[in-house]
Amino acid sequence: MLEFKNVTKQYHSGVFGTYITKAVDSVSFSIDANERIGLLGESGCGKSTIARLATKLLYPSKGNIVFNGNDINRMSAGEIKEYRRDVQIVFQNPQQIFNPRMKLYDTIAEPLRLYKLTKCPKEEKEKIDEYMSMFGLTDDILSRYPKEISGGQAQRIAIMRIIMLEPKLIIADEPTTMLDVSVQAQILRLLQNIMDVNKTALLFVSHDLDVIRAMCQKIIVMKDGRILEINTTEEVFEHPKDEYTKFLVGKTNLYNVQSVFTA
Amino acid sequence: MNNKLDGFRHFCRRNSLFVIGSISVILILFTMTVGPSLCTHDPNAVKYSEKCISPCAEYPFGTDFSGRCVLCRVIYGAHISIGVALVVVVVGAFIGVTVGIVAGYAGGAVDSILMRLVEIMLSFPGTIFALAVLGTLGNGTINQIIALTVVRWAHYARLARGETLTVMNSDYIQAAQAIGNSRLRIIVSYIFPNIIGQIIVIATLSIGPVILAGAALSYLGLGAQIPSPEWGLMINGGKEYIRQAPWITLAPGMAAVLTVFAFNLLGEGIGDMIDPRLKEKAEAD
Repeated sequence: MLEFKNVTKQYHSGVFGTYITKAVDSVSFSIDANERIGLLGESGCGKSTIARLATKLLYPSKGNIVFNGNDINRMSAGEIKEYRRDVQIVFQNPQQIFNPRMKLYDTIAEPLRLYKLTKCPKEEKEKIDEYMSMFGLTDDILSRYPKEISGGQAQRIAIMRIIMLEPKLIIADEPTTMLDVSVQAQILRLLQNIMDVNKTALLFVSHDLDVIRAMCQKIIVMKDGRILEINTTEEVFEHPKDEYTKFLVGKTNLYNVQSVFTA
Repeated sequence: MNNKLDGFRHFCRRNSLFVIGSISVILILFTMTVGPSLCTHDPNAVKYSEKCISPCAEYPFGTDFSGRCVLCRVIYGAHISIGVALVVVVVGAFIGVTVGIVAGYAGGAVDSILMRLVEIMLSFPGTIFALAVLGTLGNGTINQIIALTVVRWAHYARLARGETLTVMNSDYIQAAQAIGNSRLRIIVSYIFPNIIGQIIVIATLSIGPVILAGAALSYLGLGAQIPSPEWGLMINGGKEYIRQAPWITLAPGMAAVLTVFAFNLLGEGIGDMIDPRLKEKAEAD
């Protein structure tokens, strides 16, 4: 469905732009429909850059990103709008991704209005109410501003906004890093349910081995902008091939995987 | 009801600058609009038999060298002086904010061209630039407004661009792009609402200086023309009588000072209310 072909993203720095930093260095991989892939690596290895490249928030310096046969950076305006709807991103810091001057009702209604999914304000309200109860959110937050809600609530709203659009691929850029442990489990369970019900593909970006192990079928291991290993979750954890992967996986037994989900 | 009253008291105590400032500005605007109908004298009626009368019951601020009531003239003059400043600030801020947002959002060549233009405008000393513009356009209130706007808009443009760049760096703009907002929608419903607070503060604070600049131009004879009761013009007219009849210059001068003071209080108050950090920025401008 989505394919990265030798994608490189580099930044020029220094007074004359002579220093080149490669955030992502000739990366190739693909995600199929209904596939859940984890992107694993330490901070600064280019994980978030990949998430932003895939959502057209950044443009690649070299290489192509292809979605169902179309290069996403050579699309027409209409195709871009459709692509924006099909591929959605969940950000790391939920409390900073909403317009601080907009009430949450308008923030939540935004995707419905952008893609004209509802015909009248009444239908819009009904649809929002339906989703709110589905996500376990109470009505009183609709009249609040983004800074007046908790991080967990904000992340649930962020995911809800995305689900309303019924995307084909969700890119989750460390969606739980800023949340405390009990809320983390809620958010992950929520994401997992959505994946199961809607048959959505997932690219889960994280440095947390346990979370990735629980969420994904396949894992991409990255270091310094390059892909070291792509394999199924079991293979990566049981028989890691790369030295760096071995080093990473060696740390995973420090705490129990299941404890995150039973909390 | 009691709750509301308590809430109001709390608001007043926390935003005392804003409350005092807005009350004074409202008083001034009230005098400006209702005052003329309460005046018993014609501000332009010349009566040489009553020239240079010192303040008394009939003429609270005395009369000038042509026997005209100074109080009435100050009240009528408020229309011109404050009106000019308000028009200049509103039009200037509108132009400046549009240019600033476009420059900040577009970036690249557009940004460079627009900002070089702004820097050229800012490199001229304001009053002298306004004098030059008026010199080419000719005298008169409309031309005075044009000259002051030409001088002022660049200030707002620079501020709006800076604020736009700050907002552009925030995560919610990325999120807005990712969910599929168009450029125009991002500008209208994301960038504009998030920078307008700062713009309002700076615009309010600049009303005072613009009133003074307008009065200065009229004092030099380039703005409003005789016999208009514009404050700067009144001060100019009264300066030869300053020993015998100081009230002719003192009254419009004090009116200008108080008006500037009131608008500055309001600006500071709004700034404090929106964001206490803004105060330092405004002082540096």
